[in-house]
Amino acid sequence: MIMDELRSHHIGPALMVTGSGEQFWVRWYPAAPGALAFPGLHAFGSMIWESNFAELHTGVGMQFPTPGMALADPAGGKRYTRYRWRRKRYPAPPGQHFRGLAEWFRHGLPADQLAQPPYTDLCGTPLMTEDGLAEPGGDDDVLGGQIFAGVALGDPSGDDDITQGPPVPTFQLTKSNLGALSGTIDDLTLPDSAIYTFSCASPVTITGLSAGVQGQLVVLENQGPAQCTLSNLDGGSSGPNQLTTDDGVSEVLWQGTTCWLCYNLSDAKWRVAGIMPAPKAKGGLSTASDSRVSVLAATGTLGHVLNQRPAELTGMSWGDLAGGSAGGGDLNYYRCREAASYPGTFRYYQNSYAFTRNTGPMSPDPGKIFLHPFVSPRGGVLDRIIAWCPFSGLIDSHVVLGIYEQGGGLALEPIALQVAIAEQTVNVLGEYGADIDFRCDPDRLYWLAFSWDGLDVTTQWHGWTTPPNPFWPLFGSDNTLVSEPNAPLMIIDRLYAPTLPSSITPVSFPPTSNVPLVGVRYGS
Amino acid sequence: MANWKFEIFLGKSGFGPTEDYLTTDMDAATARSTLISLLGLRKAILPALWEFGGVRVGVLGQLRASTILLPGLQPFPDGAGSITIPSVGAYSGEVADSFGLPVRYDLQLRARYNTRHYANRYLSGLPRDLVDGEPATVHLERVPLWASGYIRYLAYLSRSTISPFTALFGVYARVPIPDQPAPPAPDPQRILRWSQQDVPPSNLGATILAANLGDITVGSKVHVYGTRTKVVNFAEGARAPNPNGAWYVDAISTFTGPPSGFTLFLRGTTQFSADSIKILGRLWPVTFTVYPIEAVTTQRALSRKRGKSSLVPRGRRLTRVSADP
Repeated sequence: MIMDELRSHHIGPALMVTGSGEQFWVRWYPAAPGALAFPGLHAFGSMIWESNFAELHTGVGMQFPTPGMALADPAGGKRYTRYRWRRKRYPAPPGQHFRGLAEWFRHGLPADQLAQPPYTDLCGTPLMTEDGLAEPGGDDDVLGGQIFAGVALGDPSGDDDITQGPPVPTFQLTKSNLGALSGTIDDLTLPDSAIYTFSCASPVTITGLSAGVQGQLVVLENQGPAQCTLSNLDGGSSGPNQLTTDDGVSEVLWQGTTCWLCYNLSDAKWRVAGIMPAPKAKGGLSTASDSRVSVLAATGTLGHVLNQRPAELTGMSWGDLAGGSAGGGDLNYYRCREAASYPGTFRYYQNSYAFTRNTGPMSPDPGKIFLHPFVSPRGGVLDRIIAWCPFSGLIDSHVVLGIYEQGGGLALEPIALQVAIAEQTVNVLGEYGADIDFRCDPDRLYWLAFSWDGLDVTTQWHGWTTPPNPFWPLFGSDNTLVSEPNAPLMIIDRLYAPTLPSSITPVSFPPTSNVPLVGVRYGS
Repeated sequence: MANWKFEIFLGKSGFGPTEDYLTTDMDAATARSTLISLLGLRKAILPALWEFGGVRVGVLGQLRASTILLPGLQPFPDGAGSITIPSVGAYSGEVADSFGLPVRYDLQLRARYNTRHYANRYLSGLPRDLVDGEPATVHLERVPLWASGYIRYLAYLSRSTISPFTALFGVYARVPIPDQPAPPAPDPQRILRWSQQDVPPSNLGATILAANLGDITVGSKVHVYGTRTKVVNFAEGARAPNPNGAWYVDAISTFTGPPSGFTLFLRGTTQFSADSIKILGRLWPVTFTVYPIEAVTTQRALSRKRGKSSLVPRGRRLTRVSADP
């Protein structure tokens, strides 16, 4: 880890063991790009920054060789009267963890540790106890990722014995109850947990949460009965505690609604990553009495997709993917909605589909790449990606599919192409896809990329109905992650528009359509 | 409570000048808020082309303690909350950017401490209009936007309440030797006698009154001054070597007197002879402390040769890499 900043590298003696005068020679190495700074104060910075650097120093840390100190080159026995400059030496260590306890770096290594085998801790956190079990104290942290905050459970079989192979812990997100909230709440302090439930008898407004760390995900669950407003960039909370939404509009959590927030260090804000309604049966988009929506939109059918009906049949209906018929609700009439009129997303009920994506806007923009984010916390496998093209296009129409890896941090910029599906001509109606075997790293964000060219789109559509949530986790009723073998955890099962307009004005579309639909099928 | 040291790395790619700020005695939470305010003021007058390479936060003391805060949101040490370290400056005016030139432009500041003592500090990254024109003269009126931020920055460095006098920043400086009291007052610094250590390494020993030992221990640094040695070569008027100067105490023995006291044997003085000292002189421990900054004024604008760190004098000075203000 980064211990100090230096222009020039040097070597020098240092005392490292508490209460011992034994000298160790320290050489400075450059840190690799992306190395982390040592968290907290330590005694092993370079002595050249010390105001009293030349004074006799008796504690642990680097020593400045003052006249009379018995400092000798370990190799040649030469007495040093000052530190020695040395060239940079590579390779630069990655600098992501330190081994041992943080206090050792400040107060010295206890002498009894010299006789011990190498310490198994990373950054002061035991990786595993000697018997292979999780730490009995129960405060085990999962290293290497920031998706989870929780505790590792024991062996599900109950005997907590691990006889062979690496341990495969299951995880349960820890849950805290914030109690009853009321009024406007600034800088809401979150205890150590991952899921926070609260109730509110009257409408409450949350303007900010205590600042998190980069990539930290938390879940808020409003148990109602009143609604809770997540206020966008509200000055009531301090800057690093504020919330921000995709569209800059404050979000409303109705009773039973769950919201994911992700902390973004680049702008030091909590991003509202996704909002999920209370679980409902498939096909039941909403009911007229549902307090979360103002109107009944539609009731779906398994395997159908919610469509804009043709001009002669106003409104929306569920259509069969097989499509092709002239009846209302067919995929032929699947449309992008004008964002201003239909702020929401579409629910696509199709067994074994991981997620689906509306590819609007349909203003013909050849070569434009549409990206759809997805994650899989447990490393699911995508085995097929598909582009649906429900029309007959030009002879040279084609689509390209690929998967990009997310850029650094939460920049939300794809950088590396993981899988590229060769261009396919899509000049006739049908399904175009490719079988792949793409294993998602558990802690990465990926983007499904889709672009096309040569489609003879004759109708101008406006807007871009981006789903407001980039993450769609599937939860059990007790907010534990559902453990389905071989299934990616981030599955679009429910897409939901938190607030539909009070009256929906259908947009008239011509009966012919040429809107591709992208879906990804997950392994089972 | 501690004296915190903020080492700010400036310039392009972190290889520009450094500036170090020493706080007066304060807790971690106050140090954090002080650093936040300081970085805000410094960023306002730092050119937008200049980067913050990071901030080294250390604690002044015998026990080493430091850490690096990289640009971005970072945890302040000792659980004092988080702090956002800026990445680049905010001053957008034309800059006397000396990158690529053999000189660097600095503004020399003068910090007053301990009533009548001064310490020079340096500020880099200056507007072009400030350094163009008459050398060594500061025309703040030419750069009104920069000057307003600069005045706020100066005011913050010496921010104080008059009674009792407190300030956020200080100067780590040597405690001055007190004036010799007028007779018949006893001189607390008087050396009673000089002697030679009777066991190896046979260092020179200065005996002082027991009451004057104070915090002097083995390893302490003491300053000997006012001694005068005998002439050993009358033809040339040459005198024996003089022990005036600073020494580390190698050993301490009790002197039974009268008057009773302690003999301090000075490390590395085996070549001196106690018999050759004619005027005994005085001795005072070399100690340092943090004096609060009482005022900061602008001294002059200057250019310095690149490659030399701020505060480094004209000649060679190898033991200090950088000590900007």
